[in-house]
Amino acid sequence: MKKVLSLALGCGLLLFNSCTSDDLEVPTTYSFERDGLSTISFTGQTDRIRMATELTDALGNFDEGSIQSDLTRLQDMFNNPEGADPFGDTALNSSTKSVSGKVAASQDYFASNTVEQAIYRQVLNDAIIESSAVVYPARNTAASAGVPGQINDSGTARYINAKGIEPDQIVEKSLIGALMADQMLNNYLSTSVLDQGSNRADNDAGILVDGKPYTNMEHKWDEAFGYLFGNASTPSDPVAEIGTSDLFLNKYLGRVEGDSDFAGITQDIFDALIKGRAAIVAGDYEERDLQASLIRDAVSDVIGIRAVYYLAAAQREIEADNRLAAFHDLSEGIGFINSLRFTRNTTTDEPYFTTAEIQDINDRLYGADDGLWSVDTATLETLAEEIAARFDWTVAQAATIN
Amino acid sequence: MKTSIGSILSLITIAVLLTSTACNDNNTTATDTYDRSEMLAHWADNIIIPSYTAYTDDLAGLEESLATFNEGPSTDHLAALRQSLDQAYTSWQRVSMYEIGPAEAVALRSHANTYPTDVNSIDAALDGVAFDLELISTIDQQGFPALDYLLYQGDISDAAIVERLSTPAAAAYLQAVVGRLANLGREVALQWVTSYRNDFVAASGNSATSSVDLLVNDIIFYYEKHLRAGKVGIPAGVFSDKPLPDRVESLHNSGQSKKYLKTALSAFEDFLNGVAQDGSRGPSLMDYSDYLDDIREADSKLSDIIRDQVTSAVATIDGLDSDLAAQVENDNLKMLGAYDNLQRLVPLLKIDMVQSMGVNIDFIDTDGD
Repeated sequence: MKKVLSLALGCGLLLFNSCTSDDLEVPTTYSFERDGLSTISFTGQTDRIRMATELTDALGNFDEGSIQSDLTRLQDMFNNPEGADPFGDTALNSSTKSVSGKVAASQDYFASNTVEQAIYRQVLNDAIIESSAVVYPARNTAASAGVPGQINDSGTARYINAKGIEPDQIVEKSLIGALMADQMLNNYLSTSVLDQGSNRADNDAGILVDGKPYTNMEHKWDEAFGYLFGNASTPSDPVAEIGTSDLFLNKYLGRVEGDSDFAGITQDIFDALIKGRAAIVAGDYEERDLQASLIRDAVSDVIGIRAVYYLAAAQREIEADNRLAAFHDLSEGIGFINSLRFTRNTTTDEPYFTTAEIQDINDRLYGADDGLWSVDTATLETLAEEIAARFDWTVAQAATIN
Repeated sequence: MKTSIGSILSLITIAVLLTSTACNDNNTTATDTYDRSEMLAHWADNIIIPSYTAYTDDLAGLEESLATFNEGPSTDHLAALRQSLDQAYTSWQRVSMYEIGPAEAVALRSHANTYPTDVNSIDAALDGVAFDLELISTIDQQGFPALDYLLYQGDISDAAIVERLSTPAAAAYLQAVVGRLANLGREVALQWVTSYRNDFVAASGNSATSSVDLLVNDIIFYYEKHLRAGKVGIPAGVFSDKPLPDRVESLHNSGQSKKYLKTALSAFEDFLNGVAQDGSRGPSLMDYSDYLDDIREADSKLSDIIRDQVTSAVATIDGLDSDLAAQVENDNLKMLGAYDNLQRLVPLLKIDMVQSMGVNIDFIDTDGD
């Protein structure tokens, strides 16, 4: 008996240090219930993904009569102000959420940094204005260096500004970092949010949010989940449809998944989301934070990989004497480069690239008056190397999907 | 063998249960013997009550200036009235944060300083529409913001303002606003002196209803919602999709808006440091924090970090235009920079300081999702 006691005490001491237990019940799908009711909720995230989809669909539409001609409506899609009904989906019009309100708005990165927050909101606002007021009106004229308009990208019409950039791509790809990744990695997976106020004590005691079937902490974790899988047709089991659920983080995780160098990354992220959520149910916060860390690494990788991929793809196009085809790649790439500001290096808890570094990359890419019309392949190669050097994968791994 | 494992497991379970509680305990509160009563007495006798006294003195001055104005409306008397308003509005900044006890009971802050003020309703009252400032729906038609509008109005000359304020309806409204503001202030001050002071000091424990816990919550709430957000963040557009320069405090005389912000921050800083109205010092939250750091043998002092952050907030505010509306319109990034520096103090107070003191925050931000 004495032996048994000392064993138990030993375990008790161990447990005291780590506050963990090993009896996690981890389901294979993202399904959690309390008293027979699902405790999962991420409607705000689904709404925002759909709002962003309508906005970027409109910005990418250069047909006659496109919403593009209505700048106010585009800005209303971005800001969803009270009294405005800019969306085709009426459910979104009645929503109190907006895309812009969560741009560069994570607790960890921007609660005390509204200066940089304003900079990224301005980047998106300016791109919306430029698409509507500069590129759309020039859609039926040929573009050239310094002149906005249309180009022929191997049979596809692309619409670019005076520097060769498609503003709609800046919006779409910058949102992947500024909205989805930032909210997911630096807000909802953060202890500052998960453990806010009395969240831990409430979660331990099973105290639910008023009128809801979930604890506050459970809900926060679900909201992180929602920014990646919130628009999936089967969110509880979304891995098979990866890449098709939305045009943002989900789509590009799908692209990275399709590269054999990174295959399995979707399952890894999904498993970590399930395990972290199960850890919350079990009150095992060390395990929860371990899973959050895995997700932060993997989602940050997706953004870095796509930034490098587009730089490398553009380099190949220009080397093949097809600069016009590089413009679309670089427009997407610039959005992913902006998104690097919202990644999270789990060693430092800082982004992989600062705003100043990102501005420097942007300058080197298209700082010249004629922008992408004159950027050279050596610059693209150097930038790809500089970005990849901060991650634990190589340019060669990211550069091609094979 | 099987039962033995079973009993080990059940013991482990008990250990887990015990330790899972232990993980949430603040295991140092037992040794906290800081004299909270002495701190509370210092707060009440040397900071809060003298601040209310100064405030009610200035309200009396405002009433006098109004009486003089009403006896002989003139631009000179308008200027004197504005001066009295500025003085009272400034001393208001040194009491606004103490929304506890009698001030909480009458919702003093809402009545004294809800802005933007409801210009349309005030115009209607000036034109003779009946009003009742006791109605809760009229909190945005009274107090300092209403006086700010009444005494400065829009783009009309001082002579035209005097003329407009000289009608019986306008005089009655002006009188009612000043009277209510002064009466509410006096009522709160009187309550502090006659009864609440002793209740406040007597509640010196460390439960959620003790005075330290309540006031710490109140001042952090004030700092977050009214100072950081109300005076800076909202006009800078932090909570909206664009900057809102017309949300600054003292909008119609916005050249004073930075002064009010600075006064409010300085009052807040003084309270943290236990600086009395007369400049002397006594036991404070920062002293208490140092005491707790000492008994825990902490490597660094939280009070140093807090003071440094206040200093840098003051420095960025010093760099702003004296007219905060103009600052927002001309260079909002600077206003955002000031907001950021004010915001950086929030987690230091709301997480680090209160956790150290074992105070629970009774309000929480929601992100609306």
